[in-house]
Amino acid sequence: MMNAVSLTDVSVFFGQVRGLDNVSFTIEAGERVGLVGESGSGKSTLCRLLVGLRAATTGEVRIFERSITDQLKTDSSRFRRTVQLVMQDAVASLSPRMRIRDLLAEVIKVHALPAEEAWAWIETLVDRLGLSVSILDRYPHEISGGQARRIAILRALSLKPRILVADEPTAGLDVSVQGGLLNLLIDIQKELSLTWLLISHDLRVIRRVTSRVLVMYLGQVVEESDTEGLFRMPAHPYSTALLSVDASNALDRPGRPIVLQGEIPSPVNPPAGCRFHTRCPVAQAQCRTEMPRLRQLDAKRRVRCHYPYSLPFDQAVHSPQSSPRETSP
Amino acid sequence: MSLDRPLVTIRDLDLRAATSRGEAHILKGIDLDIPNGCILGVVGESGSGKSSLANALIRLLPGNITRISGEIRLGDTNLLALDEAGIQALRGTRLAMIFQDPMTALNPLFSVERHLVDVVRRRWPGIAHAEAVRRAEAAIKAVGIADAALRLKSHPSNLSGGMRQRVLIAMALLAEPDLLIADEPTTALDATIEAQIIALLKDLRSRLSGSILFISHHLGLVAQLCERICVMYGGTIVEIGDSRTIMAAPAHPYTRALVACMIDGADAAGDQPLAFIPGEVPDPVKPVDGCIFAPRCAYVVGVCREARPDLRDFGATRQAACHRLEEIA
Repeated sequence: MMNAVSLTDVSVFFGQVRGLDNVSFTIEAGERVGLVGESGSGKSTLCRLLVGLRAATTGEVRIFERSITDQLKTDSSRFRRTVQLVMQDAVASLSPRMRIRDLLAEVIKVHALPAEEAWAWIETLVDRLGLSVSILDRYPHEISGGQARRIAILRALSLKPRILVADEPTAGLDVSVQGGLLNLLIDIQKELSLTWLLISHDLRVIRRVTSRVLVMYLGQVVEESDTEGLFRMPAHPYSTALLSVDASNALDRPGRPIVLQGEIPSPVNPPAGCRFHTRCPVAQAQCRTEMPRLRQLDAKRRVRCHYPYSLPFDQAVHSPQSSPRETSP
Repeated sequence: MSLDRPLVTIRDLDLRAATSRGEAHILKGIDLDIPNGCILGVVGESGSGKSSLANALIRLLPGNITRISGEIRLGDTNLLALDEAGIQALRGTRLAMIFQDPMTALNPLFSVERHLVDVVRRRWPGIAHAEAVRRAEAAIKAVGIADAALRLKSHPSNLSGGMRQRVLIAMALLAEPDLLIADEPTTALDATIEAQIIALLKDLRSRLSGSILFISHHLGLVAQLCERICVMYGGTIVEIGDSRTIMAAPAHPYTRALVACMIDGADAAGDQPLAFIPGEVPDPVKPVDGCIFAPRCAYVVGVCREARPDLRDFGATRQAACHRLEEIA
């Protein structure tokens, strides 16, 4: 299978800050991959990197086996049609002075698409996304937040991209309508054999939509796993804590959250050794001095931890003892 | 004051506001009791009126309100009948609020100490400065902030989002209010930090003598923290009762659908579509004759479109507003 995305030892520096630190992974064509992480984990930097809005400081990013840098030099328009980004703030991503129709016409013009064919595809998408054609004549302020999200997705898909990077496509949407939009996206993804990188803080969404997950912390990938494997038994203590918090909010089987101590450290001054050791409930001496490599645990999993599986997941979720008392560093 | 008497009694609270599209009916005759020493969770999606309810309680309503009627009684005082000076005297003394966005709720020019000391001195005018500082320091420790003496001298810009929310909680603790209103206090925070704040609120419950009104769009979170849950939809209360009963067997079709949307996909096959509620939230500008949820309800019959159902007893510990509770149970 061809790799749609591959990153090899990619770092991005902002001055002294490492936005991304030695990130390597691949996404196969047609895969749905989830990306999970909190503030400062590097999710947004990664998004911008994949659509060519930011260059890697070191390492190489390849899209369909060709380096982004080369593609931007030789045929940037074609590259931009290949990879499309749906931004987190859909309303802000639509120009307030342009009617939806004009926003879309601009896309067609910039990419010199055959107009008739392009509009036919747009009308198909309007229909598929559950919108009515009359919405094309409205201004962004005249449509609801949910509709704005659909339009942002529509605009990205209007170019028939092969890779869709969606940064929290359902954030801010009510839970009662999120499912509908995600179902539509999954259908379209299958139809077009899209490669889909989904960034979301909502683990329920990640679990249902993706087949593989990357977990990031402070600019690094700390765990990469098939989705079911991760949710059944996370290996990295950070993944374990994140999943336990989510499980504690589950309605059917509420568990006890593992409450991590302290704050997410500043990427300006990341901890020595393992980046997670300052908050890790099972950190050992080695973790404070030696940065773990991202290593292969089994066929489906890589993890950046000296002691994978050492924070028990099941026990954490079902243990009757109270959560550890909290102290700040 | 008798033990059985609720701390706050809300009767027929009705709120309308002017919008560019006409007058919006924000709250449609709300009846609600907030018991003494209780955490009451209010759950709802956008436009449900949950934040308007909170703002009405502390009378921080926007300028476009055209009509407000009904009663909000705190003990013997009708809050809606108070003049501006009267309600101002209750804010920060008997009523306190934690806002959603900890970034904007603190004054960037004042130190943490100044924020906290101001609260103490407002609550107990004439208290010695040294005593106020001592209480401020104790409160900072109580909310799990290390290096209390150092942190007191910090300004909000030096604190992370989680720290700032802790400072706001410390301010609320110091005021020892009868009613603490927390409007989505963890929504702006990362998942692991949210877990810390929820753990903190659980720990602090015993230290708070008054009641807490906890407002959130996240049903799982509310269920974890609150004894009682009030579910709102389109400016009305559709179901209210003790958390366990509602989570185990939601009665109102809206609550049922909401629970279905939030169930983790643990047992579901990966290719099964995600649950959602068809349709959109009601437009507050359009008058509604029957049940507010009828247009999206899976159990709708003729009577639902004609008569608004009253909130009525359903079992010993809850009430729900639906014509067909018994039939669909």
